[in-house]
Amino acid sequence: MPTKIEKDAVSGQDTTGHEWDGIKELNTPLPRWWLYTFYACILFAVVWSALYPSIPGIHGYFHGILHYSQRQELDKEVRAAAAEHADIRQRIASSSLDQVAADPEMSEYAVAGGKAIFANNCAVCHGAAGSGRPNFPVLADDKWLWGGKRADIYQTIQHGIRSLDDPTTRMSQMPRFGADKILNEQQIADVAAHVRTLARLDPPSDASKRGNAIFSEQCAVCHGQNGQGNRQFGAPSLTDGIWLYAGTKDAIEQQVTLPKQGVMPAWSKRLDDVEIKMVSLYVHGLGGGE
Amino acid sequence: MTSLTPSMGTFEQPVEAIRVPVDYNDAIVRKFIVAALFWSIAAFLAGIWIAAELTYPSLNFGEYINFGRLRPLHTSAGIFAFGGNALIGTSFWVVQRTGRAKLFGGTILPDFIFWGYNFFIINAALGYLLGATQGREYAEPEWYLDIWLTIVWVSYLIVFVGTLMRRQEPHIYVANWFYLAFIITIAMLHVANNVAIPVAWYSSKSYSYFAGVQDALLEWWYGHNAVGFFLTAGFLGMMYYFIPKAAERPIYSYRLSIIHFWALIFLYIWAGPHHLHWTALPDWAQTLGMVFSIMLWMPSWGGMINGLMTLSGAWDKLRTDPGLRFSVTAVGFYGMSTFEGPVMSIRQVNALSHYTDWTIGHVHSGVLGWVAFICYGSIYWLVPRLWHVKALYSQKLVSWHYWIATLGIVFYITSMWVAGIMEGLMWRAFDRLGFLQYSFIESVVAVHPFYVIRLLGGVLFLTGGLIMIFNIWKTVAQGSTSQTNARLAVVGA
Amino acid sequence: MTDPEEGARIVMGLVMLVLAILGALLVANASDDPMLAFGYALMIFGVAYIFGLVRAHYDAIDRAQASDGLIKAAAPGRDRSNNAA
Repeated sequence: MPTKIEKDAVSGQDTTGHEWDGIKELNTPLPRWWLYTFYACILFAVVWSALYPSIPGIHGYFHGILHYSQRQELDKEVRAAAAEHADIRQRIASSSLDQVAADPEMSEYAVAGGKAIFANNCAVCHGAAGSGRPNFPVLADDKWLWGGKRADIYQTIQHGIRSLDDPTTRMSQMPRFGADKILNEQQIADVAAHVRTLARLDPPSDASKRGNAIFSEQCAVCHGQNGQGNRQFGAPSLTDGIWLYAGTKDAIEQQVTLPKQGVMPAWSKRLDDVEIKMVSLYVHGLGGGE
Repeated sequence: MTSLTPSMGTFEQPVEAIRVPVDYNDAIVRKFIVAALFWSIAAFLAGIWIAAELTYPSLNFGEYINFGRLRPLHTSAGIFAFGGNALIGTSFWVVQRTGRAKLFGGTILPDFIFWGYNFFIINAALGYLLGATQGREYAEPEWYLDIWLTIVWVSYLIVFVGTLMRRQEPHIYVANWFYLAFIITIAMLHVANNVAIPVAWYSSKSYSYFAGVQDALLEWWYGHNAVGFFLTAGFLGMMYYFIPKAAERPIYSYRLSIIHFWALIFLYIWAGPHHLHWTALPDWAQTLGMVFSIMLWMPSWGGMINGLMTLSGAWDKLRTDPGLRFSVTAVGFYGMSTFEGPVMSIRQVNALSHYTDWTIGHVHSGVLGWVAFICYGSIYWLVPRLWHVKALYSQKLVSWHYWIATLGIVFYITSMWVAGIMEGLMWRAFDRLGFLQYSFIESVVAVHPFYVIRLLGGVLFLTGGLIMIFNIWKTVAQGSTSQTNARLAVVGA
Repeated sequence: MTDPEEGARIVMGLVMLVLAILGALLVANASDDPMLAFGYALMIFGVAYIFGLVRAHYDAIDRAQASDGLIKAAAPGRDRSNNAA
């Protein structure tokens, strides 16, 4: 192909003389600002590589003039934060829950920290600010399964509920009345009808009257004769209209037949004692603390 | 194949008359363009659906269409199905035209590439929905499809290089350098990143040969260069042909094209570690990933300069040619993303941006603003020529497409900037006493309105895409397939 | 007169035959759903591809006869040859 260098009328630049499918190229020099910015970037790269760990070798790597290390930086930050908190944590550690609650400074710190701990550990099940989720109890009301005093809450968090890795966990087990054939289907239906009258959801009926007798025999020992509940076993009140596993007739029958047994982890395995104190005080202050 | 070039000195006619039109293989280009348009809609629909799932999590019903399975479907449909078909199709047009040579491999090999590539895509999608994935971002297809794609890709390399070798121009045009870099590097990345051991010959499941941080680094070496060589080099090839053709102006600077090509090729391949800042990756590797990313800024902008400055003397065409407006806006978005990228690669900035929606916004300013727009510009230019019609059915619809899609991108990236920076700030916020200010779920709640805006942006982009399909459908329908007209159109083009 | 791609079509057809059989084998032995789906897909792909090659074979014969004037040129719009060449 003959090459023909032309002058472009618009830019005044020469073409390179080549042409592909009608496309020509100008021989414009590199824009100065582009070239110098490129050089500057390269210079930045060189300087940065000199300051920070960069070039790998066979045994290790060049650590850089600053001897920077992410691991050390994190370590430093964690230590600094820990040092900042050391004093007050020490005081909380050596105080009882009630003492912490009574001291404005400690109490403010504990509740603020408890809030963060709760949001990142507990809210998954108990909802933001203890608002509850299906099958997990609300912590912001004044009804408690295992007790709402500071010490009760503290113990629950520490050892959990039915948490098999903790021998002192809060333990109770509702019998499997249907699955283990303690009651037959008719009896379960009757007792469920009675439970609904206890909560004043249904008026008394023949079924509920039959169920009343069964209830006294089988259920009252934990839930109380009037269904008022018993915190010793974590047996919920059946009269207050609050249902851990829903209050429909079907749901009650299901619970009597093959009960759900909720599990809460023993947090002493994951949080330290001060943190558990803090989160206990936070939960206590959510609205229903006793 | 007989050479149509006369020996020097023997011709009696003027040079132009001797340039007998080469019998180009355009049928294959038509197929790829149709496939690209089809998959673009699939990609947008999947994207909108998963954006809706993020906004309203209750939409995650059923195992087959939950976010986890549809997300790779969306990315693969966008990058490999839409982008890939557009790249292969345009590369076949460009390499034939700029080399004045018919495509190598007759009809057999190019046809196999088309059907084989799209077979890969369909099976990859099917695999995702059924739960088969390597769990490697942008490399999700399992081992059997990786082998299949390797065969198809090598065929593509053979056809492309074969065509280059039979070219009648003394030099190889710059667009072809970029296309070739894209083909070769993707082959290398694909093979290295997919070294895996199947659990059994008849099982879809495989495990990577590598482990731990080496595996992660390999994956992001691949992942970042999928961006660098698939989404950048390939589409720069597209830009280098279709912008000067549409603008009817010479390329701004040949020298710049050489320098920025080689700088880009050399530097991109080292930048991957910036995806692994603040992880178990050794400090030195993070530093290298970062500084190479910084050095990439100007080589990337070299492409932008060459694209934009080629318009000098033809800026008025933007008023009359909305297709060219797409290409030029694409270059603008390219410049913006390739500035944003190096900024985000700085370790200190990354500490804020990592794992946030800022990254999602950054990617989409690249793939919607740059990749999709450069495709649109090229396809609007190509379609009348491919189907031998005088002009598009409606320039007005192109203009509508342009504005709707641009608005969609603006919604998308601005909402993701805000959402991402907000997430980054919320995650690192401490209260007065030194406790974390927010829990993760609070940041999820906080970004909800921006997810709604992002969803709206996606819907707008899809609307633009549908307008385009309609316009092209009508354009093709008005075409005559008579051979005489076709021949005239080819000569006239 | 003979289509230059005839040989290539035969080779391609054989390759597709092997792939279709491989697909059937995968279907028969697949240990999970994705592999089953891929097996079926490969089988269908191979068979469909061979049909496509057969069609291309007869199209080439039609074209050759048309250019020899043996039959009338295909009506506009029905021509499937490359780029209206």
